[in-house]
Amino acid sequence: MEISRGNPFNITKSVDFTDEEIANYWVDISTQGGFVNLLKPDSPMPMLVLGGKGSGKTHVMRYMSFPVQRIRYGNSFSEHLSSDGYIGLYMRCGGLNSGRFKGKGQSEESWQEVFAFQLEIWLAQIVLTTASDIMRELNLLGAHEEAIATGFTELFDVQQSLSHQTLAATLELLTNLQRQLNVAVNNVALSQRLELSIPVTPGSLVFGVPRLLASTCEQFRGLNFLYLIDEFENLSESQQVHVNTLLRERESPSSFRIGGRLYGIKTQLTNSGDEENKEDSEFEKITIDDRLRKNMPQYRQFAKRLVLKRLVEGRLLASIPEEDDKVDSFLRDSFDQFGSGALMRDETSFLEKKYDGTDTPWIKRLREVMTEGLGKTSCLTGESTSQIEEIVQTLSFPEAPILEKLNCFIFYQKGRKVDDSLGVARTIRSECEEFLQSLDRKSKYGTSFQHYRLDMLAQLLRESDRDLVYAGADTFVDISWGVPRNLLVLFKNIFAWAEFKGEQPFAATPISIAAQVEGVREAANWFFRDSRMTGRDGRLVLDSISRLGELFREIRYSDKPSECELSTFSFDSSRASDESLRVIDLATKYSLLVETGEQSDRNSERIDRKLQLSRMIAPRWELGINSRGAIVLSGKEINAIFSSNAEADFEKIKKERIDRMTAPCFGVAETTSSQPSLFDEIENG
Amino acid sequence: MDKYTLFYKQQLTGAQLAAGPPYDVFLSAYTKADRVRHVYDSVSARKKIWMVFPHFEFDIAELPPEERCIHLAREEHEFVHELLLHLPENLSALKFCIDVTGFIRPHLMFLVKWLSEKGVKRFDTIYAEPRQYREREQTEFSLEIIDEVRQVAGFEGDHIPDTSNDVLIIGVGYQDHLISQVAQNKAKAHKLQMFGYPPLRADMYQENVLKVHLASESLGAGRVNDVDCSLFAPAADPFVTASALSEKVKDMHRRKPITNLYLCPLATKAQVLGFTLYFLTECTTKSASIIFPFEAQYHKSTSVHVERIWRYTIELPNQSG
Repeated sequence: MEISRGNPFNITKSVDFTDEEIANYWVDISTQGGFVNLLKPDSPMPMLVLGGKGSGKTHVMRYMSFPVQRIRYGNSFSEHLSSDGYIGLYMRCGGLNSGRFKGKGQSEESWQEVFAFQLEIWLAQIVLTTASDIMRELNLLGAHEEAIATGFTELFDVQQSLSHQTLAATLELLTNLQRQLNVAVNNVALSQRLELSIPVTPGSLVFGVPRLLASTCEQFRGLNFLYLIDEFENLSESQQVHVNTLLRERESPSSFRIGGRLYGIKTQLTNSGDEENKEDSEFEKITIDDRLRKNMPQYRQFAKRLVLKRLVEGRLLASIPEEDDKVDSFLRDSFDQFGSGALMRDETSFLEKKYDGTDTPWIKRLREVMTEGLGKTSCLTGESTSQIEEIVQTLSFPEAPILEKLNCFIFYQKGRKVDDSLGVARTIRSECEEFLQSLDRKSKYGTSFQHYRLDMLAQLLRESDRDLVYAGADTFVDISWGVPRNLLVLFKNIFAWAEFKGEQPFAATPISIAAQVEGVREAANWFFRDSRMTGRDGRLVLDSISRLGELFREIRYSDKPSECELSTFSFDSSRASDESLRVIDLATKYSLLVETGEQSDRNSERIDRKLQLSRMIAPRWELGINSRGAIVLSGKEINAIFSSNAEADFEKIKKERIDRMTAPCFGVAETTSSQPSLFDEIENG
Repeated sequence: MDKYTLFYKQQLTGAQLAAGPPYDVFLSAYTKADRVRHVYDSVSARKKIWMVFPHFEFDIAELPPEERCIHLAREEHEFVHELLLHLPENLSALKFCIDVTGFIRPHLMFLVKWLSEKGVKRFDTIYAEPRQYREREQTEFSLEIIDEVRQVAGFEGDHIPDTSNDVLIIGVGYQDHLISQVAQNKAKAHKLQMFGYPPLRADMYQENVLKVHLASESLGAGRVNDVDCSLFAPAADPFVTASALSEKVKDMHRRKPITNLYLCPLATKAQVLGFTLYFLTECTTKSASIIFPFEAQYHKSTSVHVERIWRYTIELPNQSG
């Protein structure tokens, strides 16, 4: 085995990048102005930049931060700064260690004041450090330092003195104030007293320092001082109230871009008379992964270029082709393909050897279920054992196993009350033979094939003890579904497995199906494990999602799945319990479920919510990723899936639903009388 | 030779614990583990106290009725103030001993910090190794419900806004979900993992590595196998642990100044003591802190039998210096 050349997908999080790497690894979307334009950096209106884990928030915000601006500007610093119209002041809330500002016998109000002071000092240090770098670059320090230093001390409510009238001295003062705060907070646990005097009003430094810089130094005039506050989810509710207040009472030339996870926004309340901030009034909002999902063709091209960029940086590819079709073909050729043949002959060729003239599991089952139904009035069967055998032989089609599987499925679709089952089988056979000749996917049989071929292949593989295969770059891009980190994790795992198997990924030969299968499985397991939230709801949400996945799997691998490539459900919110709605909301915020719109109920005017299981975890239950249909879940079913202590209820509702898709009786108990039951009448009526 | 390796460490049997000169006060955290009970029964002391932490959710009926039990608060900075009510005032003059085996980690760290603030210079600690964790690497030590990841009270440091070269050192145990949560909490930090090596038992190192691999995506790909990102210190030696931390941090800082340092001891209680000692000796005035994933509830017994018993004599640094 060759020595590993290093996995170019190893870094999957932008936090792991240096500023240089943030600039070097940048890949943009094809809209005008790209990602940066989505965040409108020169606009004074604050914006919430939300997204699931790995959606690219941090990468975009760091790309807009001054250190990366500086790298991008190269030698024409002044011109670029002026044309960009903003200075990016990046800060992560994780660095504030905000968990220490609570409890320990002190009131919430006291801690909020201390936190506000901490934020003032913190942001002021970032602005002044950045301003100092810019002024040094532009040779402006000598001319303006004294005026800035003097103006700075005037921003405080309590007189502060500087060791010198320089920017360095202003930073020294802030460092000292920071130390006083830290010591006071540290001592609370031991002394149970909070002894700190706060010399500045909230907002005085956050807005005052940029105003001071712009009024003192011409080069800062007209620039937006853009606070890029990332990891907002790390702040408590009361701390977010303080930041919300800063957004509401924003003063030019400052503005904010607040980055956070979907679950990260805990409140819109402010301290301004307890008013709430309103979208499009006090702030705008963008959800990055949602934005990318809504334009999948654009996302696909972006995602593929992102992969190729890694290959270029990893020296596995000389350059990224300009043309999209060349990008597509390079990636297509880099992976062994699966499931793309017209009749999936390659994918099913193993059956010939495996069963070698004996019955396949689905043919055996067909015979068994009809035999089981023999003599029962309400089940799918034949008139006699010999007729059953004739039906089995009619539907058998060893020359194209995928069609044989489909034949059985279409036969089951006819339901339990078939008057002439042999006639039905013959019609299916005839349509099957016609399709084999024409491959016309618009015919009735062809439509069934088009819709259910991947489900049939999945069933065929499972019943033959084979793994379900997720293969090809297009599939991986679709699985990642607007979340670049998911894409990189998939490629990282596939690359690692390929190397482990002695392959040379992206070099000599296409990556094997086996490596792709293992890589996807590992990525799916990581995503599921990693989605666990803190607190007692963490396990409840994962258990609920596991139940949903299990239900979908049972449906997909039943005799008569009701929907093709099922991984979506809709439901009537008014029928669900408060707890279920809360769990669904959490699962959505943690990207385990994705809202895919609304759906009209077939029997009423009611509009139901529609959600899809995350494509990243669909492989855990061997589900399809391009969900085509959605099942409607009743309130009872929703509560059995998404409530605590619902395991027994879940087993019951699952059985009820799966029984309806199981031959030969499809959920109807055998009746001995020739008189139809009430349920039959309802069903047939 | 560095200062930490001059501390006293001794392996003892139960009989030797019983035969030694009696302590004035012996403290132990009550659990159902054999090794905790064994040490409590063996040690010679004038006054023995079981500390009962609410995290184990013991019913009154589960506690030994004839022995002295005190129920303590959930938060680490509160429990010590309750404990104080049951201890004599002249702490620094007493000869006392703490069995750290069943302790909740942040509470142990805060207790040591508090003793240091109270002027205590020296005390003994006991750590009893398990022969095996109940389900080996699959052992669940808690209900895996993490309430929050935050700094441990009293270990909150003097941090700075520059996060360009933050470092997080995790003493990695068997619980990959804890490792993941901590790593995600300090996502930007350059992460290192400290393995217990030599481990308590030969197979525990491999089990440990397997669990850490499950958290590899949060730790940063490739880092789990990267020697530069790993530290090794004996699982049962707090002093070598402190020494290894000291050396590694100095070396990293020499190569590129560390902006903020975060420590998180998730492995054995002996290593927790080592992290604590290192912090109190070298980090109290630095931009450094100890963080921890606080869990709601722990299992009452996760190991079987007793293997080796260790006594570590802790000598605390002078905080004013």
